[in-house]
Amino acid sequence: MAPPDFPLDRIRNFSIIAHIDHGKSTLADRILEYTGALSEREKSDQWLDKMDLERERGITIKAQAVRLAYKANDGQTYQLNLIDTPGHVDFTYEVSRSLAACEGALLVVDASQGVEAQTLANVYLAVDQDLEIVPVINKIDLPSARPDEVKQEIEEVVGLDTSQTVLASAKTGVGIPEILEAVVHHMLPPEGDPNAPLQALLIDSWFDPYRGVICLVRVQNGRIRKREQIVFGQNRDKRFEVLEVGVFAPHPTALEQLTAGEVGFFAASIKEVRDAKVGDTVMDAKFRDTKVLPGFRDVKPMVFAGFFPIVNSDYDALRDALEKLRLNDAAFSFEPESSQALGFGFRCGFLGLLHMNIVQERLEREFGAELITTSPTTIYRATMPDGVVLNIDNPSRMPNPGEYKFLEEPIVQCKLHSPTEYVGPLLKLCEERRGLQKGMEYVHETRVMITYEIPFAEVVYDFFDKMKTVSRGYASLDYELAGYREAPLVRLDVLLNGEKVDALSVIVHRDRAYERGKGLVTRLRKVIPRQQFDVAIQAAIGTKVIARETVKAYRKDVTAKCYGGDITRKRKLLERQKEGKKRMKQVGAVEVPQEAFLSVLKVDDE
Amino acid sequence: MSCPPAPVTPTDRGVYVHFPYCEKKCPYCDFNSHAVAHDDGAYADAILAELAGRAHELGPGAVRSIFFGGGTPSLWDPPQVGRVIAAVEATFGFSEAPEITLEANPGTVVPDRFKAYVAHGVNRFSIGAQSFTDRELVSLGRIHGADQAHRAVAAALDTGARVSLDLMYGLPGQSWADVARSVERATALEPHHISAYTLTIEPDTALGRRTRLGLFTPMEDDDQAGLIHDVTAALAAAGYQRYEISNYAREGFEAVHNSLYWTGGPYLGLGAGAHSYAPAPDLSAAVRRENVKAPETYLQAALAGDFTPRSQEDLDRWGVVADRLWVGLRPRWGVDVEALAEQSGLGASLLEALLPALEGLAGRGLVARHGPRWAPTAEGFLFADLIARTLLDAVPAGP
Repeated sequence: MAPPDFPLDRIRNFSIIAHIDHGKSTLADRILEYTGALSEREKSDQWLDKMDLERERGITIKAQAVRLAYKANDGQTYQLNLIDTPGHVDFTYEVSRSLAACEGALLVVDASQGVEAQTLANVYLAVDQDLEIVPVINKIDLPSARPDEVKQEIEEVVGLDTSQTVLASAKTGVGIPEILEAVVHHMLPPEGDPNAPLQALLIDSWFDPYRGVICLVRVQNGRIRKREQIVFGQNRDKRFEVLEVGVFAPHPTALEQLTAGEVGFFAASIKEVRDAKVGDTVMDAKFRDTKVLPGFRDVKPMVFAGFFPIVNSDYDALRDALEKLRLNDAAFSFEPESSQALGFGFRCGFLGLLHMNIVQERLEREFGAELITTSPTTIYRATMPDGVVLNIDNPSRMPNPGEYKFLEEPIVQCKLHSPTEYVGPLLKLCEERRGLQKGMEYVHETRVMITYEIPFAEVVYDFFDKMKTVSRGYASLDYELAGYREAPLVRLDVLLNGEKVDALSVIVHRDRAYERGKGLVTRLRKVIPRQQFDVAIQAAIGTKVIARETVKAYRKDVTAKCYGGDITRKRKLLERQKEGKKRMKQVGAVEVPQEAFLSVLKVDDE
Repeated sequence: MSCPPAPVTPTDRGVYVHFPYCEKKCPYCDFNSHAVAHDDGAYADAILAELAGRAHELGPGAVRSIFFGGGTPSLWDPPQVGRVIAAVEATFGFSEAPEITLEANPGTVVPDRFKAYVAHGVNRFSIGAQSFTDRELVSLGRIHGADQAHRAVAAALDTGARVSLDLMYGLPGQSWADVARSVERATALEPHHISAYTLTIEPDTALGRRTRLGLFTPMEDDDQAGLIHDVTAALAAAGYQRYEISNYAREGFEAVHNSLYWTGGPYLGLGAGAHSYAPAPDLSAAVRRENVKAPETYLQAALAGDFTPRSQEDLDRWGVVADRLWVGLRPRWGVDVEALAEQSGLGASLLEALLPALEGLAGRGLVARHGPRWAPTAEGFLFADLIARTLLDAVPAGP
C-alpha cells in the first residue's frame, strides 16, 4: 500500500532571489548541509550550478529543485522544496514559471553592497505573483556590513516590508536556522486537492541521454504516478507513460508518486524537449478536458542569425552539434541556409541575443565548432500583391521594392520596472527606439512600471544595455510579442568592391538607413584588413549608394632579408600568417574577417 | 620585362663559414653575434675540424663559393681565414671562378688588411657601410662613421676584389633626400654590387624591445614602400639592376653565394650557429641543420669532434619543392616550374597544384611567366611574402 500523502500544510515551496555575488549558491549549500541533505564528504560548493558556462557567466539556464526534510522548532518535520531559477531578460518567462511554482522567496542581499539593480527584475516578478518575500541580509560577518542601512534600502528601493528580515552569514552558518524557521512560519503552504484530476505545472525540462526528457513539475492538483498515462495541455493527443517519478534530495531519488503541492521530476520516454514545454500543464490522459494552468507562453525563436562553419568541410559536424543542442533547448531552431558569401551553413533561431551567445559559446566549447555568425535579425513580413504573406527571417530573402504590397515588423510590448528617479531617461530611450507609450503605473511610491510598444528590432540591438546604462542598472525589462505593424522598411546592402555581400545585408527603418549605413561602413573599414588593392565598402539601398569608405591598399608585404639561415624560421612565420588568413572568408578577391559579419550589431558604439 | 637566368647552375655548391665575434652588437641585428674576447687560431682549428668531420654531408665535387659571414669576420686574422680557404680547396676543390666573400665592417678594416685578405684568397668583400650619414650610423648603433665607410669601400676596391656594400634605409623620419644622399655616395664609389635593405624590426633585438616599449617608432610600411621604389629607380639609373628583393648589381656581378640559397643549392655551414642545407639530387628529401650557437660551446665540441646540431629539420619531397618555390620567387629569375616538376618526380601533380595559384598571382600582377619560368614582377618584389604564402598554401608541404 502506498504511504499516506504528505500533509499539504507541512510543505513549503520557495526560491532564492539574489544578485550574482551576494551568496545565493553558498546559502543554498548551507541550507542543504543544515538539513542533512548533503553528507560531510559532499560539501563541494555550489550544488545548484551544474554547467561550466552557467557558472562563468553567473547565469543558470535550467531550473533546478531540491527537496529537503526540515525538523522545525515546533517539532514537526516539513518538506521544503527549494527551486532555483535562471536569470536574464532572455529567460524572464522561464523565471516566471519557476516562481509560479513557489509560494515564497528569500531575497538575499549583501550586507555591505546593499540592493543591486540586477536583483530587482526577479523581485518584481515575485511580487507580481504574490509571493511571500523574506529578506535575508547576508555576509553580516564582514567588517563592512551595514545591515540597518541595507534594510532601509530594501524598504525604499524594493518597497518591501522588512520586519521579518533575517541577518545571516552563509559563510559562517549564522542565521541558517532562522532562515528555515522563517520559511516555515512566514511562507504559506501550497493549496491543492490531491484527489482531483492531475494538473501539474511544468517548471522546466531537459534532455537526458539515457532516460529521455526529464520534466521538473509542481503538482497543483491530483498526483503523478508511475505507469500512468499523461498528456500535455498544449498537445493533448500525444500520450506518454510515466516511467519514473522522483525528487532531487539533492541526489535523484525514486518515488512512487508526486502529490498536490509537491515538486519533483518524472520521465516518460519523451524524445524532445519541444514536447514538454516550459509552463505547460501536465494532465491525466483520462481527463484530457482538464483546464490548463494560466501563464503558458509558447516560447518561439524571435531572433535569427546564420551560423556558418569557417571551414566548409565542417558542415556535417556543425549540423550534428546543432541537433544535439536542439534536443535540450525547445526555444532553439535551425534549418540549412546557403549564402553566396559564406557558403553552406544554418539559419538559427533564438529567444534573444544572450540565448544566441550562449548557443554560440556552447558550440565552440563543447563541440569545437569554429563559426562565422551573421548579424541577428527579427522576422519581418511581406504581403505580396496576391495576398500571400512571406515571413522573412533573413534579409537576403526580402523582396525588392515594388514586388510587395507592404512590409511589417514585429512589435513587442515592453514592461520596464524601475525606481522612479530614472523615468525621464527611460522614456527618452523608448521614444528614440520608435516606441509608443501604452501606460505608466506607480506600483509603489518609489517604483514605476512603464509599458511601451517598441519594434522588436530596436529592442534586439543593445536596448537592454542602454536601459541599464541610463538607469544605472536599476531598471528591468520584460517583453512579449504584441503583433506586427506596417513600417517603411528597406534592405540595406553592403558591397565590397562592387560585389554585394548577402551575409551583411540588414533590414532597417527607412529613416534610420542613412545613419546605419554610415555606421556600418565605418565599422567595416576598421575590421577589414588592408589588402593588396583598395577595397571600396559601400552601403546601398537598391542601386542607390548611401555611404562609402575605402580601405587603402597596403603597399608592401615582404621580408627584406632571406638567406640560408633564415629559411626554416621564415617558413614557419609564413605558415602562422596563413593560419590567420584561413579564419577569413574570401568574398570575391576581398578577405573578410569573422568579426565583420557581426559589425552590424556594433554600429551604435561609434 | 626581360628575365635573365640565375648566375648559378643546379650543380653549384657552397661553403658558409660563420665567425660569431663582434666588437659590439648592433641594435637591429638578430644574427648569431657575440661581443666577447676570442682566439682566432683556436676558432680556425675548430672550423677545420668541423670541415673534416662533415665534408661528407656535401659529398665530393668542387665548390663554387665560400662566404665568411658573422658576426664580424673582418676581425679574424687574415692568415687564419687563409687556412680555412686552403682547407676547403683541399677538401673539395674549386670550380671555375669561385666567389670567396668576406663580410667587413668599415670600422675594423684598414687598407693593408684588405690586401692581406686578398693575398690569402678572398676575392670579394661585402662591406656593411649601411649609410653615409653620421647621424644615421649613430642611430643604427654602428661603430664607424660615414668617412670611414667611404674609405673602407675605396680601399677594398683598390685591391681589385669585387665589392658589395650594404645600405640600410627606411629609418624613422628619414626622407628620400636623406636616402638619396647615401645612394649617391654609394654609387659614386662604383662598387660591383649593392644590397639595400629596409630596416626591419626583429622581435629579439634591442630595437624590437625598444619598439615594444614605445621608445622607437619604425617608419610606416607605406612610406618604406615609397622609398623602395625610389631607391630601385636611383640604383637602376646608376647601372645597378635589381635582381632580388634587396639586391642590386652591375651586369654579371650578382652574388653567387646568396643565389645558391635562393635556387635551393646545397651548402655546408661551418662555425657557431651556421646553417647547412643538403638536398638529395632527386629532391626526394633534404636536411636543414643549425650548428650549436654559443661560440664557446661550439669551439669545445668541434675540437672534441662532436658536431651534433642544435636543431635539424628533415624535409620530404613536397617540403623540398615548397622551399624551392617560395624562396625561388624572391630573385628575378624565378623558378622553372616544369623542370622542378620533372626533377622532383612530382610531375603533373605539382603542376596541377601550382599553376592555378601562379595564374592567380599573375592576375594580380605579382608574377609573370617567361617561357617555363615564373618570376616576380616589380610589384611582386614588394609582395614576396604574399606570393610565398600563396605558394605554400597551394603545395601540400610541411615537414
